[in-house]
Amino acid sequence: MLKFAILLALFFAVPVLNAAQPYKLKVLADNLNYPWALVFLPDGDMLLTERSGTVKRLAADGSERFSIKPALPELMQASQAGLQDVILTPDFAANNQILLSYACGTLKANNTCLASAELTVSGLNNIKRIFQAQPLKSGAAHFGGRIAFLPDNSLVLTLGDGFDYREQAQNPANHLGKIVRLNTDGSVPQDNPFVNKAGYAAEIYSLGHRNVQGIFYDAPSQTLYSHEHGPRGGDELNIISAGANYGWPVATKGIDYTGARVSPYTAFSGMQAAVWGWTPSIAPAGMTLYRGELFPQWQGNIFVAALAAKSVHRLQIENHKVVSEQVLFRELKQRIRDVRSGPDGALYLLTDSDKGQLIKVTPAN
Amino acid sequence: MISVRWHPVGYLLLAVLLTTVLACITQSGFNLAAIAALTGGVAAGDIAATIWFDLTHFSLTYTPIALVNLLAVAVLLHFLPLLWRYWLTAGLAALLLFGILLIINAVAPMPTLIAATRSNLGVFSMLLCSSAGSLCYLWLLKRRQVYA
Repeated sequence: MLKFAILLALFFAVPVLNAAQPYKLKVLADNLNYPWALVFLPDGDMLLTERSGTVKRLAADGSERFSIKPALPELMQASQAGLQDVILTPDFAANNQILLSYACGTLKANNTCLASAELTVSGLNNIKRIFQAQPLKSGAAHFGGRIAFLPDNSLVLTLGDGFDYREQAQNPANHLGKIVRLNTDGSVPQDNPFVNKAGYAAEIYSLGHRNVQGIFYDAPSQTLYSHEHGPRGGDELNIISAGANYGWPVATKGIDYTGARVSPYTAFSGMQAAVWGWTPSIAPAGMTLYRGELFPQWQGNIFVAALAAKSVHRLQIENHKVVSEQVLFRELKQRIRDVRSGPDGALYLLTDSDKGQLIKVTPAN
Repeated sequence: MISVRWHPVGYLLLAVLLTTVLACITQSGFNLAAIAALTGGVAAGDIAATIWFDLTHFSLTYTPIALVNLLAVAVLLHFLPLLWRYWLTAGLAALLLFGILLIINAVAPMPTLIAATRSNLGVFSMLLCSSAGSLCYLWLLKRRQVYA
């Protein structure tokens, strides 16, 4: 009954008075099966992924244009594994090309994959796997899976440490616990930081990550931001530099879920410190930079979707430093998988459950 | 009037304590060894601090596991006197812990809950801790019999 009341309230877009910025929430779509990512098309439509492997095309009002299960090579579905991010390529207007990240392989031998596809009126064509992280490992945890484009039209793909393989995040010879930089065809840009360096995987852009599930490039400040899940505590917001080491598991403010210490160090020479952190963990799972016009007070702020904290964290940034943090949308009482800044200036949220929702946030008046 | 013998309970708790302490030190050892391999070494003070941290934090997770493990051993010893051999008891405790770890990892959302048990050597070390606790329990029981 309580859930129904909340749903009803959301449908009627109840204004919520916030300390600084009143907003209203409207459910555009519901009954989504663990929605993972959202991207906006030039015509106002949206593409939405579900972890179960579904891609939905939605109109701006949330109505469904199509819902398909694309034939992604070796898509793996188990626990955290499944379809993850979706992004339009920079020349989408010319070729309708999109990229999809997903867990691929079997429970005993898997990792994160990247596929390209052509968006058509009714679905996806020409699906091709263009990258598979190496080595293949067992288990269905920590795949990373977020994608962002850089100004030179290369892309960065975040990769997890596979949970049981955390020390491999410091091994430069493989992709576990790394952010990799690729061209849209999956090839390696020749100006990657470790190209032609013996013992290093050429795709690596940065290393020492645990499970990065939020990344975006801010063109005005020329900054690549990412956040990553810590273990128990130690969630981090990082500014990513080419070739830098972000410390996991040597330097962390988190501990194991069992209470054991992962490492005696919270900082270590030669390893980048986080610009912001969360202990206890909020479980950051998506991130966007707000550059819209509907919320002038939110201009230039970072919004972090949080699963465990069941909220969105708004971070005000000055000179690459977080100067304040505000927790939003707690009233939803739902795990938030992703947050996106829409071309219309609204903020869009995806809630994480088998009855997940797409929620649009606009000013109250 | 029913008479209850409490000494096996005390012995069991002592054995659980021993197992937990050994398991905490083992857990610290494996994590520290992994970090040392990445950093070129860990200072003695950091080793001591980590072991103390795990004794006061990881123990909260491990004590219930050790309790269930050794309680099962104690029950079996009570009903099957045939098992009152050190090598049998040690093997039984290790076998039961192995089963418990399998169940925990199957139920927990992460592939392997206890970091030390990610490797075969780590699993074996934890099984040895369990065996040590069970041997302590049996030794105390036998000692009581001798001096009763």
